[in-house]
Amino acid sequence: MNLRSLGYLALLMLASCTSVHTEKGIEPVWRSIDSGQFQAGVTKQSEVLDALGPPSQVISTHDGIVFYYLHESSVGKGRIFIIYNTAEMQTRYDRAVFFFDGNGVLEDFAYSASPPSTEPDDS
Amino acid sequence: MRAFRLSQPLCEPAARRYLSAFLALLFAGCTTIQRDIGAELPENLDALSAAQDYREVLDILGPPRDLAVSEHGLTFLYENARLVERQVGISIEIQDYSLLKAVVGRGDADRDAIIVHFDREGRLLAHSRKQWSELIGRGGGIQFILAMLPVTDHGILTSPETAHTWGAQLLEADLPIGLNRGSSPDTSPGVIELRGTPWHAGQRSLELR
Repeated sequence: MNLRSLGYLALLMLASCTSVHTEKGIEPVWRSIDSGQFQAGVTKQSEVLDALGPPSQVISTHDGIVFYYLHESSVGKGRIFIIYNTAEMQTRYDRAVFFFDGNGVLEDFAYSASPPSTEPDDS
Repeated sequence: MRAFRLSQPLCEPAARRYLSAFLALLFAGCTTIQRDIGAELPENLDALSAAQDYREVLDILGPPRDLAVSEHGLTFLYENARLVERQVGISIEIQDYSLLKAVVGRGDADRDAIIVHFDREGRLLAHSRKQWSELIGRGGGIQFILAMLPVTDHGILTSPETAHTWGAQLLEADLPIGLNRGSSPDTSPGVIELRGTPWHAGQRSLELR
């Protein structure tokens, strides 16, 4: 086996898979607490803050305020075969929003449809 | 079993050149890079058409990606994007070794966006959906043969959500960016912006980015 063949063989041995997982934003604690704890017309801003902590964003509305919680999760996989390489990254967002009236009482709230799946689709 | 040996004619200089060229193409390092941002939006929006106010829209679509408040009402934006970059590479041989590849690539995106508008009392006024495909760009470069780096600029579509940096941006001291915070899509409650909107024009032009 000559030096060139050894070089290509070494490169082929380096062929590998990579993986990355990142999390950003607010820990989605709203998934682990009973949503019945929050009731429109009853729950106050302070109770939401006590339960979930500071929001990602606070947005003023005409006569109230919105607490916007955002959690971001990204999972990526890469396959390096030298001849052909492929990389996939999937980013999913888990959100919770709380609308309060001018007196700081909860008007309505919502979560993202389901806890986000961040497994790349292999199909 | 008898080992296969190249026949003499194939070992002639011309044949060896073809074989080398073939091997060079074989080790080219073609690459596909996919980026999937946000969950798919519901295909059927009949329920949205029947909704009366923002509470029902929240029940149907969940929290929006972005929301804006103006003196006339409230606007929700829902959005996702699928990006695919396909690269073709040709290895570059330097002193008998191919550690670099020349790469050209093209990036495409499939986009889906829903915008929902409410009046000041939160009653649904209108909604609209757009689904489209677009060319992100083309590019090229020279990369290490094991690298998988995009050659198209898709940062405008993959930039982080502004909610992550909202608080810090409100304390932005750099001028003139700081002066524009009141009307920036990143920090102003009155502005909403689709991913991919150019940063050099429109609402951000004051920031001179």
